[in-house]
Formats: sequence, C-alpha cells, structure tokens
Amino acid sequence: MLLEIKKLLENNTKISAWVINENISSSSELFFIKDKLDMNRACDTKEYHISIYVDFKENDILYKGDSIVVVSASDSIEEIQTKINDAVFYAEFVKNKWYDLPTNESNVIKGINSFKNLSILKKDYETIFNVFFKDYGYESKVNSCEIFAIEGLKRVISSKGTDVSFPYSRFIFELVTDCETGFEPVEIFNGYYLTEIDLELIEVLIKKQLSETYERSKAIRNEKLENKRVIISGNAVEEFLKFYIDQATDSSIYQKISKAKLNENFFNNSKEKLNIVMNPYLSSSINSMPVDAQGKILKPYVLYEDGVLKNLKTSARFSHYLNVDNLGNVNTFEVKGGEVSLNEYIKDDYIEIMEFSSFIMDTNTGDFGGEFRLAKVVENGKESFITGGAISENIFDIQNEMLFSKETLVYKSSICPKAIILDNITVSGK
Amino acid sequence: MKLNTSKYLLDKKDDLKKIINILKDEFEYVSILGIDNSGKTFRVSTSGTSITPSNEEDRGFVLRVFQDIGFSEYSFNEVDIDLICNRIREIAKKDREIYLKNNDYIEYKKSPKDEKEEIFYVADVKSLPTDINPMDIINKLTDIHDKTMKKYSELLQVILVLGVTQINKIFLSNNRDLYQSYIYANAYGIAMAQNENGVKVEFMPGSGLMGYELIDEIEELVDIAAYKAVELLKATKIEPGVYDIICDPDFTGLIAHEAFGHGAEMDMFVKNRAKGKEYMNKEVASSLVNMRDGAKSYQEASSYIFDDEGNLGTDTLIIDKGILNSGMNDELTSLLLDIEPTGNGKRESHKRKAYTRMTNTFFEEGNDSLEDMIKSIEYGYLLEGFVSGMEDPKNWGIQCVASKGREIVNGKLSGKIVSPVYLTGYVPELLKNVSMVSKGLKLSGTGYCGKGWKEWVKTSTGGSYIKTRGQLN
Repeated sequence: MLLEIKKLLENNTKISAWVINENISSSSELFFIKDKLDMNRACDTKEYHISIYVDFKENDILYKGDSIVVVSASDSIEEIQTKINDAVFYAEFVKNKWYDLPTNESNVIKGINSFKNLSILKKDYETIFNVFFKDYGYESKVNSCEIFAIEGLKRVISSKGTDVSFPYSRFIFELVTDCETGFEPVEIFNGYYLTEIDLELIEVLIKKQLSETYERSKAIRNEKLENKRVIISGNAVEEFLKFYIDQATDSSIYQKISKAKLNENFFNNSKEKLNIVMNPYLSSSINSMPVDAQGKILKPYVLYEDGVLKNLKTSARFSHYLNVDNLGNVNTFEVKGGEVSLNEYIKDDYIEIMEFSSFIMDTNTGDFGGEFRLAKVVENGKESFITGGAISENIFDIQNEMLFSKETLVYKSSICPKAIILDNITVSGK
Repeated sequence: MKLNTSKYLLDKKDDLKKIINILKDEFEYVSILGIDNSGKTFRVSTSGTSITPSNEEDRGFVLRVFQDIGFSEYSFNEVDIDLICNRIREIAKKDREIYLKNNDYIEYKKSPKDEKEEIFYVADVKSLPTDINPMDIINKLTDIHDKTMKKYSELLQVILVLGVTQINKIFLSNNRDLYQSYIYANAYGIAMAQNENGVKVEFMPGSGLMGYELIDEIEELVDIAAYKAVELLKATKIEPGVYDIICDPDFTGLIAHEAFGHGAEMDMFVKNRAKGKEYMNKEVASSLVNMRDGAKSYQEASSYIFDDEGNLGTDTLIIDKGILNSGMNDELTSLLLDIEPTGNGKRESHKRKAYTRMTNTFFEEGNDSLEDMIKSIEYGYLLEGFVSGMEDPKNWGIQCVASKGREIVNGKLSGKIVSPVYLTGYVPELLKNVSMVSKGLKLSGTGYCGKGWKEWVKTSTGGSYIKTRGQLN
C-alpha cells in the first residue's frame, strides 16, 4: 500500500512535498481484577499519516500550505485518491510563510533495540504473572492491573529523500494498589512505560508502589506548613524539567512566549547549572525515535550547557523562520544531576512529595504545583506521612535557588535527577 | 438536512455479518463495533494557520466474543474474514488457555442480553461539513484574530480553533443491527497576554451538536478570553485557607466530573476502587444537589444513540437531592453487578478497550441568583474557568484547578484576582456545604476525559453557579 500511496502523491502535480509515516502495530492486552484475569485483547493495525505540502505565490510572496491525511489499512485506492485530493484542496488555504522541509545526508540510523514482547508474554507467562501478583509481604496489595505488550514497525518516507524504518517495542502496565489497614482504605495508581519485559525492574516498581500505598494508609491530613525544604520526587520531576524543554522550543521562541534566548543564560546566578542533552536514542524510553515526523534524521545534541541555551528544539517551519539549524523534533532527553548527593539534602528537616494527584506545570506561565496524595515529613529525625496538602509556586520565583540531586533516575521520556530540592516553600493543608 | 452516512461502514456490513455468522456457533456471544470518524480542525493563530484531522479521526473494528471462560476482543482495521476469525480463535481460545492454565479468571454468570434492536439514526444538520468553503472559515477566523489583537495591546498571541467531527458507528450482533451518524463542533478562543510579570493564558470553550455554524460564537469566545487574559496579568497568589466560594458553571462542571463523577463509574465498584459503593442510597451532598449523567441527559458533544458496546444511551440520576441514587456502567460491569446497562461503555478508539465512562455530566440548576450568592459572602472567592482536575474515587480527594478566583469582600467583588487556584479537600464535605445553586444550566463539551492517565474520550460537563465552602491553595 505504501508504494501505491507514494505513486498517487508523485502523480499529483499540485503537491510540492510529502511525508508518509507508516505505523504497523500489534498488541496483546490483559486486564486483571486482583489476580484474576478479566478480558484479554489483541490489536493489529496498520495506518499511514501523510503530510501533504503545497507551495503557492500571492503578490509575489511564496507560501507553503499543508494538510494531513490519515489512511487506514482497508481504504481503497479510490478513497485514498479522494483523501489526497481533499488534502491538497485544504492545504491551498493554509497560508504560512514558505519554509523548506528537511533533507538528510544519508538514511543511515543507529541500531534500535527491539524486544519480542508479544511472544515473551506468552512463553514466560507464569513467571510474569508471579512477579505481578506474588505476595511481597506488604499489607498493601495489588487491586487491579492492566498489561499491554506491544511490538511495531515505523517507516518514515518523504519526497525529500528520507526513507527510514525502525522497530519499536513497549511493555506498558497500569497498576492499582490498595491498603485497607490504615485510618481509611487508600489506593495509588500509576502507569509504567517500559520498552521490554524487564522482570527485575517490574518487581522494583511494584514493591515501591506497594510500599508507598502502605505509607499513604498511615498518612494524615496536614496543617499548613511554612518555609519548608520541599523535595519533589517521582514522575513530577520530569514534568517539572519539561518546562525548560518547552522554553527552548523554536515555536515558543518565535511566538515570544519563551523567555529563553539562544546563547544566553536562562538563569540569574543559579545555584544549580542546568545541563540538558536531547537524545533521540535514549534506550530506556518508549518515546525514542531516530527520525521525526517531518523526515529529519535525529542525532543527540546539547540543549542547555551550564544554564546557557546552546541550541533549540526545532521543527522545519519555525527553525526556518528563526534562521537556525533544524535539528529535528527530539522528544527524549537527559538532565545532568547536581553536584551533591540527595543524602546531603535530607540531613536536615524536609518534606518529600512522593505522589501528586496530578502535578501541573504550565510551561507558558511557569506556574506549577498540585495536591499530593503522599508526602514524607522528616522533622528532628522523626519520619511521618501526610496527604491532601498542596503546593503552588512559579518557577521563575524559585529557579535560581533550586537544587538537583546528584543521583539520576529513568523516567518515561528522560533520565533526570532523582529529586528536585526547593527551599522556603509553603505547603498548604486543612 | 441529513448527514451523509459512512459508505465505508455500510459497504463492510455484509462482511461483518459473515464474521458473526461464522463465529456464533463457537461462542455464546459475538458482536462487532465499526467506527469511521472523520473531521477537520481549523486553527488560526498569530504565528500561522493549520488544518488538521479531528482528534477523534478513527477507522476500524472491534470484535468481541464471550464464552464460559470470559470475554476476549480483537481490534483490527483490515477486513479479511478468514484471518479475523482465525485471529479471534487464537486470542479467545489458545491464548486464554495459556493465561488460565494455572490461574483464575473473572466469572460471568451470563452473557450480554443481546435483545433484538434495529436502529438506523442519521442526525439532521443545518449544513453538511463537506459543503463548507475552507477559505470562508479561515478568512473569518483571521478577521476575528486581527480585530482581537488590535483591541488589546497586552496580547502576545491569539489562537482560534474550530473543529467539526462526524461520528459514524455500526454495531452488529446476533440480534442487534445499530447504526448512527452525528456531528459535534468544538471551538476555543485562546489568548496569551504578557507584561513585565510574565505570560498569562486564558481560554474560552464553545461546543454543540452542530457543524461549522459554531463559528458564529467564536468572536465572543475569543474576546472574553482576551479580556480575561489581560485581567490575569494583575493576579496575585492566594493565601491558602478555607473560604466561602462560588463556582462558575465551568468549574462546577469540573467538580461534577472529576470530584464526583469518576467515583460513580461502577467498574470502580467491581474493583472495590470507589468509595461511592458504600454510600449508595446515603447522603453525599446537600439536599440542593441533583446530579445527572447520560447520553440522553442533555444534548451536547457526548450525546449518542448507542454506546461502544451496543447499549442504548440513557439519562441517569446520580445524586437525588443529596442522596447517591445510582452509578453508571459499561456492559461487563452491568453483568457482574447484575444491573441494567446505562449505556456508558466508551472507547478511546477502535484500538482500545471499553470502560465505564461519563457522557454529559452536570449538577442541575437551582433557584438562586448569582447576585444574591455574592451578597451572602462576607469574605471569599468566585472561582472561574477550569484548568484541570484529577479523580480519586477511592478516597474522594479533590484536585480541581480554576483559572482564577475573584475576591469577594462584604458581599461585593473587590476587583482583586488570584491565580492559579487549587481547590482541594474531601468531596462529600464540599458537596454537603453547597448552600446555594443558581439558575442557568450550562454545559461545555470541549473537554476530553481520561481514565487515570489514559483512555481519552469526549465528554461534556457543566452546571450552574454553586456556593459552597472549600480549601483553596
């Protein structure tokens, strides 16, 4: 079908450029209530997302319009032809200043690891089941679980010469754990996004969540706490640091939403030096991609070096407008840890927010915060747990004072410090 | 006039029936859902224009079978009868045999009712989505954009979004032959204002079961968004505490949906994940509170004739004068709890499982006036707009974020604005404190709802102004 789509695009004289993103995917899915299997599912799909570009002139000014077509595996050639014609018609009304689409020196990419998650799920089912549902000795238990084993193949092909194929594999699970033994029944739920069925890692993640669920069952609603050292850990760390990625994005800079300026320090005498590398080959992330949707082959590059914005996160259009190199749309990144170990930062009193209900970071305004479901309070060496409090801050008010732990952790799309340390923070309570 | 039907789905109908006929002797129950959704989203902003496919663009099928050892499903988008029949045998028999060899499964005492039903529903519209001229839409959005940018000097960006999606679905089983085509429109006016203190963003949503005629509302939406974004530039941080609050209809809807609605999804009852289970027929709110959900409860973006499991949409009274009256459910949940289906089984796409999901969820209007509500508060806040929310059905914790709070002092708005505002606390406490409910029910269907962190589906939420007391941060 890909060749037929390509032929239809090449035969349309109004089209100036095109990019086809082919995605072939298969999954096996299991849904458990406690350790009992409820439904099992499988999904086999083949889809094509086709970007169509049309160049045109008005009053001697050159414009580029674009539109996207989604083609499903069982669409007929006549339907695809109609969809392409419609897309051309719509693209002619999208009047954006002209820009060029990416070309590459070659179509060579680094090898991508992929794993046979579908066959392993069946072959090693008893072992996998045991890791999820065995009794780890906690008072908290697995309430329910959803498991998704996925394998796929992506191919990006463009009129500018890109032709790259790569496999991908994912093992995703949503885990709900509960504990009935505390002040009242409590639960914690989380989604985990792995590339392979790494049983050792899965066991670590399950135990951590069971432990935190037990701790939540002991947690009490807190009073207002002022001028505290607050340590943010867990998934909120990545969400927090994505602020700096968004500020470094070409579209944000072009639209003047961002405060970042190329080759300038984003901070003003910050205690921590921010170092971020965009890494499309981050093997721990399900979002790693060697090529972006516009056909740009991706390579690792430095985004921030010691707080200075060295490059932008780019797209074809806005990089052209800003007259900077298009390095492509990389979605995976690494943030260097700080100079000091987390152990040093927890010698004095602190509050570690371990689970937010939903951490919110507004990357336009810098407002961040949220209600938390579990936080650890350490006061004079004594540990207790609180729940239901909240923080509400703006990153521009605190960023020069914030600190990163030396230790780093793997997150969904990144490797980032294990914790972010903020001082003089108010935690609201009942 | 009537919408065009999906030629794709209707052309495939005979093949889908053949699959059901082949499999009906091998399984107790067989059904197929077919989806062919399409649409366009126009976006005009200060930095450019785009026309993209609708968020709900989707084409494919879900085959469901039931046997004595439970339910299995196969999602596909390539129709090859033999291949599909062999694949579902592999999934439901061979794979399930591996999974159940040494382990237990959820037992269903009966299969879906599958009562005889034939429906062919095609909605009426003022104008067909295929008849629009893209140039007219883009020109109008561009004119409004330019006018708004000129009116407010503090604006950095104005974004206007108008999308229309046509939903086409077919559901077939041994006894059911259902088809529906309908459309909904979503619009947003988004404004970003900037001064020396930073950037502030506001948006105003609009929606309805209609086509591109929603464009007539955009100018007002974006003007309100722009005015409010400029207002936000002078916002300060709130002093955390417990206050008398009035929630506007958008924020009331967020509370109905996130704080309470998720806890009334009865698949959570089955998993013992919802506190609501133990509060059935008990007081959970003030007697002024009535709450509804259902595809038939209101005509908005989440209204449909049948859900993604072939059950007809209903109108469910969730809270009746403060008493928890009923939850909502999907097919499997209704079987496990032995109750009637409420038609709330929804899927993100043909690729995903169906879960119990909300549709049009709202608190019913009351008899008070906003003016009287403000007058009744000595010190508190009027909360406006929604940013986000997160459910906690097991513990009825609240996290709902409002765009802003307007300070009320001695029964009057003082002009002071705080932002952002996090409402936290305990759901029944918040709802039991509801002391006034205004006239004027309003729903918004621009949002998408997740189940936990995934499974995004179209929902609408709303209510009127409510007065209560809550913890603000």
